[in-house]
Amino acid sequence: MALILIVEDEMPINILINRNLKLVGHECVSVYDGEAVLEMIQKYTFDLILLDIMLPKMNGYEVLETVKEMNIPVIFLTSKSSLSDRVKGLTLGADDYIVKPFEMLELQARVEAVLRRTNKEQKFFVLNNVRVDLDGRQAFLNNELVDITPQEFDLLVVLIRNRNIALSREKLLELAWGYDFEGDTRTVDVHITKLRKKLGLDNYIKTVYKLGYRLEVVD
Amino acid sequence: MKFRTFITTFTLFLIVFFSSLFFISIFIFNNQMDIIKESGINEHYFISSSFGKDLMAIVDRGGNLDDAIEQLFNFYTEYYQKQGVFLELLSQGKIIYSNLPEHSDELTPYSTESGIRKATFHNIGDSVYFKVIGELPGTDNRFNIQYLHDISGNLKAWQKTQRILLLVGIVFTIILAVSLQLILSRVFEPLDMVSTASRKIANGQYDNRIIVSGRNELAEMAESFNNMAEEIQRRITQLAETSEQKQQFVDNLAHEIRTPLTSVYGFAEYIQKATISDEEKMFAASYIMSESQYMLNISNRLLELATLRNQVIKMKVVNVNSLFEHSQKSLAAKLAENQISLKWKIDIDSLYGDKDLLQSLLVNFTDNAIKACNPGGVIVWNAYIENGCRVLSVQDNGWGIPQNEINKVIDPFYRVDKSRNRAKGGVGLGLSICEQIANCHNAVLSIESLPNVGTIVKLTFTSS
Repeated sequence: MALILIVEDEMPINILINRNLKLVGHECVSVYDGEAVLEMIQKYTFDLILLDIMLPKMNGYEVLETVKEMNIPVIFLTSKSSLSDRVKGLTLGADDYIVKPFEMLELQARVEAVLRRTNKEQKFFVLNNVRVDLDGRQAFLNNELVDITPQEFDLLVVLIRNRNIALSREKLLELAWGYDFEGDTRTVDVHITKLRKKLGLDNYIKTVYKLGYRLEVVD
Repeated sequence: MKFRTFITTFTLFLIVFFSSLFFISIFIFNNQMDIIKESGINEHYFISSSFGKDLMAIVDRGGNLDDAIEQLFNFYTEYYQKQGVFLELLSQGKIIYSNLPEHSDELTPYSTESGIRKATFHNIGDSVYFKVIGELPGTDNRFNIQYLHDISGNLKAWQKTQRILLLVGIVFTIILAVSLQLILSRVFEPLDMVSTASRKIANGQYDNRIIVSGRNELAEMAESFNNMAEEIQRRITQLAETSEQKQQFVDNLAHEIRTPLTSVYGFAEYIQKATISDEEKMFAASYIMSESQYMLNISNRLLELATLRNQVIKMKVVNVNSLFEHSQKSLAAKLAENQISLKWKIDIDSLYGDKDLLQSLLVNFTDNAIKACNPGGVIVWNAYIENGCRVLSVQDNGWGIPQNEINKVIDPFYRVDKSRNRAKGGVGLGLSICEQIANCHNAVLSIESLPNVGTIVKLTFTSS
């Protein structure tokens, strides 16, 4: 549950990012130009800033210089994909770089990665009578430790980090166990069934028609 | 070319020069020989007649003929030998007396008739002699006198002359070769420059020029070459600019389309994958629709621009008042919505052009003006004459255009305030279209603006 500032002058894209990050439980504030950033960082303490480079009034590089003094992690968000632009952004002190157009999962993964680096990531996840200790790799049902295999836990973490987003079996396989994991999409089905049973999440881990699975959490 | 000219000229010179030398020397030689012949024949005549007379006189006085002949012969030869002339006395074809140092004793193979003399050239030993043989007068052709003139000296002198001529000829040939080379280099210098310059131009150095000096045909050629190079450079630069503009346009277009596509894709993905309420779905779908609509607008505007570029418009007289009234009707809703008032001033009755296009232009200008104005702003349309040209202008009292951006606003996809303009649905092609319309009318588009004071956009009709 991080507080994220989105700085992007194209309104539809700004809103899109806002909605996507809210899905997985972050809180978001949207602003549309460079100067508004300076105002906002006085009011709130942000865990992360997603910063467009081409901005009205004050460009992203200028904003970055100010923001860096306050030790807020920054991910650049831009349609400039040339190497020199990327290098410039990173040498100025940005934590990562996302090139538009991007996919939802890429955005989530990069945001998550930066939050983990700065230790701002979510440590616990609670849903109904289930509590998951993401750092300690333990899951509790009604405050009782549930016996979960490491593979099942990996899958559970992926579902939690991308909650409210449907993930295909292939994607789950890749995100949970990596590309070189030996096993097919049937393995995912088996593990999902076990997780549902062990944690009583039948109503929350939903099968999405023609897509895959989704952990549904209504905030 | 230079080499060929050199070779041709040089060969021609050699032929003419040496053949004339040759003919001159032959002529001189022949002339000399003629003189020798004539004098030899005359001398023979003189010697033989005086020899004959002397002989007659001695014989008449009762002297012995043989003694007399020997005596006279010795007397004559002694005298003539000093002049390189030798004499021989023949009797019936046989030499009886001779003072030749190396005379042959062979029989002279010819007989002579009375009164006839024969002249020949003869090689005897190392020397060449001119030989005249004839009757000794008064001896009834019993005796012949042979006159021999040694011409070896003349021949040697002639050969020497020939050698000198040859030497002089060679010296002159060398002088000619050098000076011809120099002259040709000078004559061909401009040509060399032209060929060097054209090679450089062919290699892409379009700013290469020839230095023109003097006022002859070559200088003229160099000058027209320079003009050609200039024209080529101008066109190449123009092409490069056009191509750069096109590239810029394509780059911009790619960027312009990428942004709405990002949101269309993103919202579609959002609907597909996220756990969201129906309301949220509607919200996302509405963005997909509006972004698609935006792309459709871009596409329509681009088509409009493309059509205008290829269109030959039909120019007609357009009544300014009705143009203003029609345009106002199509803008009325927008003006009311933004609380902006519109006024106009008409000094000229009519314009010459395509009414629909002019209306589209006026609406475009006014659209921009509305976007630039705060509520309560005023827009003024004006039709008047300035410096003899008809002018249509749209003036607003909005926030104006920054000085450094005035030149860029006509560029495709350029927007002074991108986010605000985009929110109002502009695709950044309005002024590009206006410029195209202006071009169709042979009119000039100009923009004057002061930040926070306002902007005047003027369309000046240069023809009609």
